[in-house]
Amino acid sequence: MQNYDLVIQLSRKDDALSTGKYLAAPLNEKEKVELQLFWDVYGRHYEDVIAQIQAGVAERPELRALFEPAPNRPQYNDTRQRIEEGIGRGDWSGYIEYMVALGAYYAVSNIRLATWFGALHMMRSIITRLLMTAYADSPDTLERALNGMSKYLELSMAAICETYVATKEETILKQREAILELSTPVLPLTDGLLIMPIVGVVDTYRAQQLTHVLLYAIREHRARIVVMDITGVPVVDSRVANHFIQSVDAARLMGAKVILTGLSPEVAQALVTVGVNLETITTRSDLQSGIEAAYRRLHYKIVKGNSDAFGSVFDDKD
Amino acid sequence: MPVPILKQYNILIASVQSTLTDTDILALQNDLAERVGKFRSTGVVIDVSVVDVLDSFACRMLRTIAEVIRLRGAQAVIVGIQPDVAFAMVQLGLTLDGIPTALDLEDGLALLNARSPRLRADYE
Repeated sequence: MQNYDLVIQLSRKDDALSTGKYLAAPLNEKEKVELQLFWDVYGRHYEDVIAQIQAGVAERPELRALFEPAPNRPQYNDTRQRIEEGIGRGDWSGYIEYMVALGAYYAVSNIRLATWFGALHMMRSIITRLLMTAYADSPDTLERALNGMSKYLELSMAAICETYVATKEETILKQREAILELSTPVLPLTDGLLIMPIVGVVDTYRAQQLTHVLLYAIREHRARIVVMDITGVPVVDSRVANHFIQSVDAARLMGAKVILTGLSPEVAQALVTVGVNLETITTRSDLQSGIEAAYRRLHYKIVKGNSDAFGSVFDDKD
Repeated sequence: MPVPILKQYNILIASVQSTLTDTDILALQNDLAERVGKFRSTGVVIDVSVVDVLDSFACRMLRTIAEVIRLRGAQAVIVGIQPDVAFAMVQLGLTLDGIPTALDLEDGLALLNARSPRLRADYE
């Protein structure tokens, strides 16, 4: 299976508590000055701004989830100090750590990023107003302070969004692993005949894994025929059908024939309507007919004996 | 390295021993086309079980060789395609349609045996 080993990238929380990862380029002197101009005003009104945001959020129920107390919500009481360290001394790690923790919290609590952007917008307009008052006499300084604010918010956004996405990705990888572990059994029925029941959604990744399992099973069991039952596959569209066609072609290259069973009436009609070419594939309605067809090809015959020869069916003997 | 061709009654067995270069494949095509006539063979088994890489040229040539052999009056069967090779071929869209394939030499011989009565008579 080495080709298909999952490359699991665990969350990048630990490796990147630095600005480097969240900025397109390192902060230059101009940006540092701009940030300072922004912080001169924001820092002075810090408590006031936070209070205004909380008051604004209280009025908008859709944003309330952001500040609702929860046991796993990261709580930092020294946010202000962390921002100061970033802007004043260029050490952003404390602040980024906070943003990363928040991003992860939003992701696991299913708080939408849009909600957070709503609060961000509120904050932006409050601070813009403050900056316009403070630098009213110098449009040039005002512009630089506004730039500083953008830089600051960009940094927060990058950290939160990156972590948010990484945390969600982690969940997806875990689920994918879980599906792989459920995996796909291959059951030898008689000499040369394998049964392969497929349950669950088949995406490109799983289709490859299926084909892989199928081909190695053919070699191991010296199978002539494989009956692949897809009763348990909820959605069979043209893409999934093409995956099955590929598996069937690959099996043929190894000298095995695949019989596909369990295509529901709806699926059959849908596939014909969209024009998937299934000419190369042998299909049967259900597993039973598939196995019967396989037996015919392998020249097996099932004979029902009578109770004289085999004993009564009610006997418990093996 | 040229591909050795063994004669077994009416069947020729071409057993590929290493990754095929383009020259090897062309030589194989020539050899087989010639010997099918020379030995009056009815079947040819091309065994690729030790090959772990088949490029698109090799796949196309396998097809061509099978076709050439058919025109010379014999039946070709390709055996021993490995799982990873089969998977790669399908991904490239090279499915060898219409050319018989079998799991290994044993199954390939059985397949030819079943398809050619004259051959069966010789064995029995």
